[in-house]
Amino acid sequence: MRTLCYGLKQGIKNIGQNRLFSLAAIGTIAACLFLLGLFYVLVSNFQHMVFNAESAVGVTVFFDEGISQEQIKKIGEEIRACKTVEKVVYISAEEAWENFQKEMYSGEEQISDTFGDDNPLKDSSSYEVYLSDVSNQAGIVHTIEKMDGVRKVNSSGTVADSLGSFNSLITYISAGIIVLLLLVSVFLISSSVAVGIRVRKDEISIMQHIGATDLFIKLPFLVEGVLIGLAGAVIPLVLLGFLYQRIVGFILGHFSVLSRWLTFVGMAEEFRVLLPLSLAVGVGIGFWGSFSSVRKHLRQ
Amino acid sequence: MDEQERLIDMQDVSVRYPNGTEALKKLNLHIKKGEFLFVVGSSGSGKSTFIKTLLGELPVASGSVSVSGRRLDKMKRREIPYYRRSLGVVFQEFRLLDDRNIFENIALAQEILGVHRLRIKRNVGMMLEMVGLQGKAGAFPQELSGGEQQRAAIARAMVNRPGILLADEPTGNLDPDNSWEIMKLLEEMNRLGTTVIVVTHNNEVVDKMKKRVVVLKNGNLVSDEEQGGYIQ
Repeated sequence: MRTLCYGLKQGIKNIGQNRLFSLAAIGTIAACLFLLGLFYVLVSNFQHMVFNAESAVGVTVFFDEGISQEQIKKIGEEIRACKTVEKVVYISAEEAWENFQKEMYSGEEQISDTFGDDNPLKDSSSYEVYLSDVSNQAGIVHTIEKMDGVRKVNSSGTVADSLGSFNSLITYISAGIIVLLLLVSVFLISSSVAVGIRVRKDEISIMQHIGATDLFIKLPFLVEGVLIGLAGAVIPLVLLGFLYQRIVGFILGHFSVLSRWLTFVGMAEEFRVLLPLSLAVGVGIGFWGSFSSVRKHLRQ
Repeated sequence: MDEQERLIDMQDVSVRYPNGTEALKKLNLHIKKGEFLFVVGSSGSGKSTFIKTLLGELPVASGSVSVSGRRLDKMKRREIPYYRRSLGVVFQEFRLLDDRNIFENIALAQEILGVHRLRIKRNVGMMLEMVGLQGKAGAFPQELSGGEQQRAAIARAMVNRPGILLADEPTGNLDPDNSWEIMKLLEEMNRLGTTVIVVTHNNEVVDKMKKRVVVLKNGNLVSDEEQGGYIQ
């Protein structure tokens, strides 16, 4: 307990005494975590937008002529049972005709009136099927086509394939960049601590001569590393939170015409992941960087 | 010498540096509890290696070293800090921490042992009085003279009441007057029961003090006299 108290006191004192090194290390971690946070926010928002776009890409299922409502219901249940099917909406022949009239004869109702009570789309009731991941669209279409009572399946394969591939590409690239940034952070914090250790080489040697254990010597450096990591994590979080609110507010305020496509993830939702992630990464690299440097020095 | 009297027992000790240099060659030396011993010799004679071996800094290539019944040549790395707590060490360049005042420098040795704050205060106060630095507790090393800094270093070495005090050239950076003051202080520690081993170049001190003198040359023990003098 006394060793822990000593480590805490000395670790805090070390940060003050090595202000420049500490600031450099905090700055390095803060810069890396800011970039990490920025990437995360960009990627998560992009994925959110892609997901919304994907949700709009549906598959339309038409039935054989003269099919009964019970058979249609059964087909609906089979479709719902498929993996990655998120939503199935039934469009009756009447709704289909109404929608068609709205789209084609809006303002020219006299033309549609010529049809009277006749529904030219009486055999065009359908299911609109929405998927949670459009990359599976081809497989789902194939499955539905084989179902009894299904006449035709309409899908926009090109849009689905492009969105799916682009989404995967962005995920891989961003994961690669984030891993690279983390490695750079670990290297930089470890170098900063190593410089700090070189400066205090004498102090460590004196402590070793008077019987200090490795833990006693390591503890202040570990406390220092963890506190630096913590500070390096909190700064970019505050900055990102502030900037996110401002930028999203600005875009939604000035580009309302794009609001259908530009849908943003809420800040609370972003920080539910970003806060523990940044704190864990900051504290983790602070601890690991100082631990590896001190251990290396003590083993020499 | 009765085996039970031997505090430090070195038998056929050889120490080699990684480059192959043999710095101590089959050294045999026995030191009794409560002795005051000078280790002298020219540069490269093996004096520093002798101190480093006793500190557990250098591995023993062959032979055996026993200190207070503990086999240094068989000691594991993790046991060394605990072994070092039974020693006090004083260096030529004092090696006080510049960012801590004299009280904190001396207290560090007790903090390592986990001594309670109130006891540290009492023990450090006693040591400061013993070495004649009462009133200097709040001063920083750079505010003290060389002699005062070495006194503080002795206080730090002795605050845990070790059985052995190793002093590596303790007067090397001091003028003759201060050198004598330091030697008197070491003699006082010895009188109180501590075994004192001083590695030195200071022939004047060695000749006047009439203590046991061990002479090393090229890693060999060439002379060991009770009340000896300085021989290069």
